[in-house]
Amino acid sequence: MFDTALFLLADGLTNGAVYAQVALSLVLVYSVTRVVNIAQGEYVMLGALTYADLLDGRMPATMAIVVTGLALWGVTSAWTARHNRRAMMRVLGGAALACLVLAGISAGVLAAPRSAFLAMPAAILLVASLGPIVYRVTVQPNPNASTVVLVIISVGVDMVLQGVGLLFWGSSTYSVAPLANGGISVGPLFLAWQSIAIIAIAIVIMAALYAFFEFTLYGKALQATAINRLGAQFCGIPVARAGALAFFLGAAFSATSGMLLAPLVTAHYDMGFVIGLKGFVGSAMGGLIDYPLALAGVFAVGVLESTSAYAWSAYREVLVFALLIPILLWRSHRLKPGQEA
Amino acid sequence: MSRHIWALLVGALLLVAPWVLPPFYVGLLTFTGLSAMVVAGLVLLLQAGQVSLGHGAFMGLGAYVSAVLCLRYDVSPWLAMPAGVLLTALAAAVIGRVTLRLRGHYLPLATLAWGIGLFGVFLAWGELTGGASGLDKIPAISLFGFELRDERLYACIVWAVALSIVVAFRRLQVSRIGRAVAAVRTHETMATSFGIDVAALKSRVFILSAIVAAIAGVLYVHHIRFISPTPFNLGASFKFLIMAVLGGPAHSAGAIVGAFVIQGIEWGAQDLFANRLGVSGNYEIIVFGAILVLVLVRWPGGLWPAHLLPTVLPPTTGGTPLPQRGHDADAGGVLLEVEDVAVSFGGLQALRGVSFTLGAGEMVGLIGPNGAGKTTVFNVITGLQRPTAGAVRFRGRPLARHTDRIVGDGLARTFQHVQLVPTLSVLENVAIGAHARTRCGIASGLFGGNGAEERAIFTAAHEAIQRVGLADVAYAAAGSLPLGRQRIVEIARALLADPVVLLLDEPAAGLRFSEKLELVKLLRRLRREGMTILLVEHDMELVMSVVDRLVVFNRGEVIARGTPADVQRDPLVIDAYLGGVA
Repeated sequence: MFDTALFLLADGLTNGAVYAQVALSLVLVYSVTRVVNIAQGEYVMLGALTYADLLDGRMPATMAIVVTGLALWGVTSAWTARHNRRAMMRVLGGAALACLVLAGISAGVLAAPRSAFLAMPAAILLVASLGPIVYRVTVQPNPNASTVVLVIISVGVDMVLQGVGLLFWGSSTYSVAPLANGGISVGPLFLAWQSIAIIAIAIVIMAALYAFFEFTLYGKALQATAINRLGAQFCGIPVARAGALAFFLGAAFSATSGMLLAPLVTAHYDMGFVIGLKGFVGSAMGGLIDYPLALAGVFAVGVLESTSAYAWSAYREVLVFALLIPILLWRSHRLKPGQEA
Repeated sequence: MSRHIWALLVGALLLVAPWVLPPFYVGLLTFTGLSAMVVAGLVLLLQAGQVSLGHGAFMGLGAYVSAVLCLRYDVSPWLAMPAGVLLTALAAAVIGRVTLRLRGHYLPLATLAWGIGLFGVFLAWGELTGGASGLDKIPAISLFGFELRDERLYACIVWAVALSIVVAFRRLQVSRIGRAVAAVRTHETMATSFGIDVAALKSRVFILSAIVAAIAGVLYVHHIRFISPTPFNLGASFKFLIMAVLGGPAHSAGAIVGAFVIQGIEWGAQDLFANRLGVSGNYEIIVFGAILVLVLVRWPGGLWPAHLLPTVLPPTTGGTPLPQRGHDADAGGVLLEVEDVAVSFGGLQALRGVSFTLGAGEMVGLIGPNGAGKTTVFNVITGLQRPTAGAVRFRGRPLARHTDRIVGDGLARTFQHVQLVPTLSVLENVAIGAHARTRCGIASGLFGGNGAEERAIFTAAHEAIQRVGLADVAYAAAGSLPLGRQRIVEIARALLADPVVLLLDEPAAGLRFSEKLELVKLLRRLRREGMTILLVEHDMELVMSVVDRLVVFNRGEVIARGTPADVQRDPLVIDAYLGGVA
């Protein structure tokens, strides 16, 4: 009994660490841009599939998505800037340059001997570059749109990304080799290296994020934007660029989580949405703005999921979402009436 | 008149269409009509500033209750259907009670959670619901022994119901309740101050939206005659919300626009991929998603062309006068007594031993440097802040405990930061002021019977607008006026509450010189007409020129009282304003 509990706990923590990176992305994106990003889970899917492609020696289809996205962004921004020839050329040049650089990196990785340590950063870069594109095309044009409109726009983005995933990768599954096979036994408990890696990388990302926010000017600018957009703008912080950066980092973290998860579940075009939702449930605990509470939330979700999968497997998902209600009630009790949540 | 002709034309078209379209499209039309019902509820929620990701599940709850009653308990559909709707309304009342006090993104999250929870129940309660494989052989609705199974007739019925719902919701939108809903969406504090019970209104609107979703559910289940959990999953709820946002909250008919556009895009994209391009698979979501993003980036307020169809308001003349409060008993007496009031926020003592009175027909100014506690006093008097000690008595009785009752007792206020509904006309904004003096509720808003009262409200609102000199902009959107005139709109709105005491919170803040002159004229006129006014203001020149008496605050205490001339000579006041050595 005790062994089972330990095993479930370890499993839950691994799940939690996967969701943690998505939750961190969600909190980052929400606090800087006010977008409750339903599409966040799709970057997990793209990360996993891009990584699988690079490991298998194929040019990742993500390249095509990025090129299309950059073209779309280039054309729309060039149109906005059509009266300023130099700005227009700068935009188009920038888009073309970004395409070339990303294609070069991908080609380089493919030419080099297969290595997870080359493929991973390249895949992260590819997927993460989609973040700012999505931000520039769908969020930036309406900085004052209501939260619900922004949510629905992100639902649209989610559909497009998921459909594109199906278009390029089909409905087959891709298996990805873990970073290292085997694991260690701690007493009765067996921990796979992959699980340890997931938790370790999650911790590294959190530490890096903390350092970024606390010790760099750019991080502080991002924080300022999160707290007060208008004020930040008056201080000369380019709010749009901060938003693009938040989307970039968010996509990067989510993609990382996808790559680490892929060996455990096999990669599939359909895998993103539910992971995104669970990250969402977890981060709801901190009201989408509190990093440590979001982490506590996703670990709770992970553990609940693994225990309920063991005890009542059919209702695993339902139980996880049902967890939201008490969390939200608890949150609302902490708010006085009239106080903004 | 032409708008009625348009509405009739569209209605007639929708009711005739099933008889001329090929069968495939008839089915599509029926489903669009059912969606439009659910979406009408969601549009109403959007108008109240709420969002739900659980209405697919409400539709399912109505459908399941009706189906289970028919199959397991042999109940006639004619009883089972109302039972389904009623039970859904009850569920919504319970859920609403628990979740509606959540704000911002918490609310959609909570609705997401119980949406998935209800879906889980449909799936899990196998012996009752048939689990994932569902229930079949659900009886059709029969009328005088004739079963309603004709696709075309059913499409007609569904659209007749959907159109009735949209028309009724539109009526509600432009009624007393509709204006209250708009007030709740934009400024809850203001809504409360004008006598709107925000929590109750939110909950009623939520229940109403669940009821129409359940109506769609029961009509669906007795048409398809088979039920399984899938059509009521999260995806369905998302789709309904997308329709609602796309149609936009500007007009209840946005529900029909949203339902048609989304259904059309979806069907078109499916047709494009499956039939024209010959590819199988769920690729249409790419097109669907892209169009959704494109439309909302371009038109974030939804597709309903609000500027083409301005709201038609009730006539502003000939209404019976609204009930008025007798003021005679107050003449010469003390109206408002603030006695030894203290307020502390944690360790910070914001007010200490504050006492003053306001006599009938007086105009008194509260002044003091920034942070002196003027606004806190104001909030105590208007019930937004409860005093830590001391009491406020109004017309000899303690202040009502519920903030939304205070306006009914005769205290109406304006706000330092203008709290108008920017999209509504000046006239409608002023009409909100009459909320506490009028009665018509949701039922008469939906089904009629509020015509006389509406006319009375708008007649009174127009009079108030004339009284403050805004007649030329009565039909302009309040948000389009310059700040100075918006403040005057606030005064007109407060006047429509038939106040015994008018409380003005920094009415001159941010006004231009000419606007200030107008304000002074208005205040003097109101004073002459016998209105009792309490004024918080920074502009010394303005205050000194209009008030009878002043109460001067500094650091949470009253440091001086008296006529403007006395106060100007008071060394304590001079010290508080100019610093200097005590």
